[in-house]
Amino acid sequence: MLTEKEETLLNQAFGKQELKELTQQQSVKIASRTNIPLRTVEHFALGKGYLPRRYRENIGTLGTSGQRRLLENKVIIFGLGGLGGYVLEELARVGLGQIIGVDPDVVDETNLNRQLLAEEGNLGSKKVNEANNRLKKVNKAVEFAGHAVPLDQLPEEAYCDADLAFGCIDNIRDRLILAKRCSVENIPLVHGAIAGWYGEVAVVWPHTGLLEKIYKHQGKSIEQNLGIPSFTAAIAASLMVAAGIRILLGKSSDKEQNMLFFDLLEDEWQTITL
Amino acid sequence: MVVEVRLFATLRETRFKKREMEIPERSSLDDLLEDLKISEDELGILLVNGRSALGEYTLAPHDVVSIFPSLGGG
Repeated sequence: MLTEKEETLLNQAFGKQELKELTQQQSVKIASRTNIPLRTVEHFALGKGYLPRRYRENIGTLGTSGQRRLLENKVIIFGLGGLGGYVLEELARVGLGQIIGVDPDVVDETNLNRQLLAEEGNLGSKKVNEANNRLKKVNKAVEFAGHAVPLDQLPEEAYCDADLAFGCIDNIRDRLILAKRCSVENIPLVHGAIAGWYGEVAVVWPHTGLLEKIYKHQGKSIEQNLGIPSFTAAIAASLMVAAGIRILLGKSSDKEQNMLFFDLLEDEWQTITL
Repeated sequence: MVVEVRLFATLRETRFKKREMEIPERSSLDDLLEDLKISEDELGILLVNGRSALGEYTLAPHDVVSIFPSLGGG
């Protein structure tokens, strides 16, 4: 990640750092003085035993090397709506270093019931722009690239080096296209789908055909009648993020062919093997 | 023969959560779906004894059939 010159600069900067806990202000100052991206500064700091205070409540769970690894990672989120908005928020707070967001849509009034990026004051605004704005407020270290295009206009170069993909799309057709693309690029895909009280989450490892199995029957999906309340979107998104972080930290088996299905009306959780 | 049928989410509406059903020997999954009045259009996932199965699958006594609708929202 670092050139020799950058490493020297950072060593000098941190040589003056007395306390082991690094505040946001200190990190930003070092980034500014050395002209090195904030993400790189935090990554370096963690490697030298300095703990960015903003990640203090992550470290007990992720570990210092885990936190450092997440700063190196690159993920792509397809869809910045109900699922995608929460996925983006949680990844930013967990310290995921590089995020690509794909969504051609603008914020609509009908999004207000569940989408984190939708606000009364930003209707009509492009979702990728709102994602960028949100990240600037929550975690400036995250490097974000937004693509306000539909999936079939997104070139492979935009995502082929991603470590992980989140399928937060609102239709089955595009989900299946996405699964094929991720398989070709050898990117594990975290699948999520929601409707009413119900949701499902699964990890689609490349070349397993799991998503084709899930949507084999291509029946009429029930969110068309039920809609989606906020809590269903938040729960599914959080399950997706947890699954994604497990993968990135190497705590996940690529032999999994499971899907978790939840029913919030009956409070039932099923693990299905496909 | 008796099979156990478990329905999930909206498929429970007008039907049931879990039931032991008496069906003719050598019924297929498709036969069972017809009995339950569940059309192809309503289908998401079909499992027999926890594993994915096709409509032509011939059911055996005490098989557990699980049926989920299709979810597509995001």
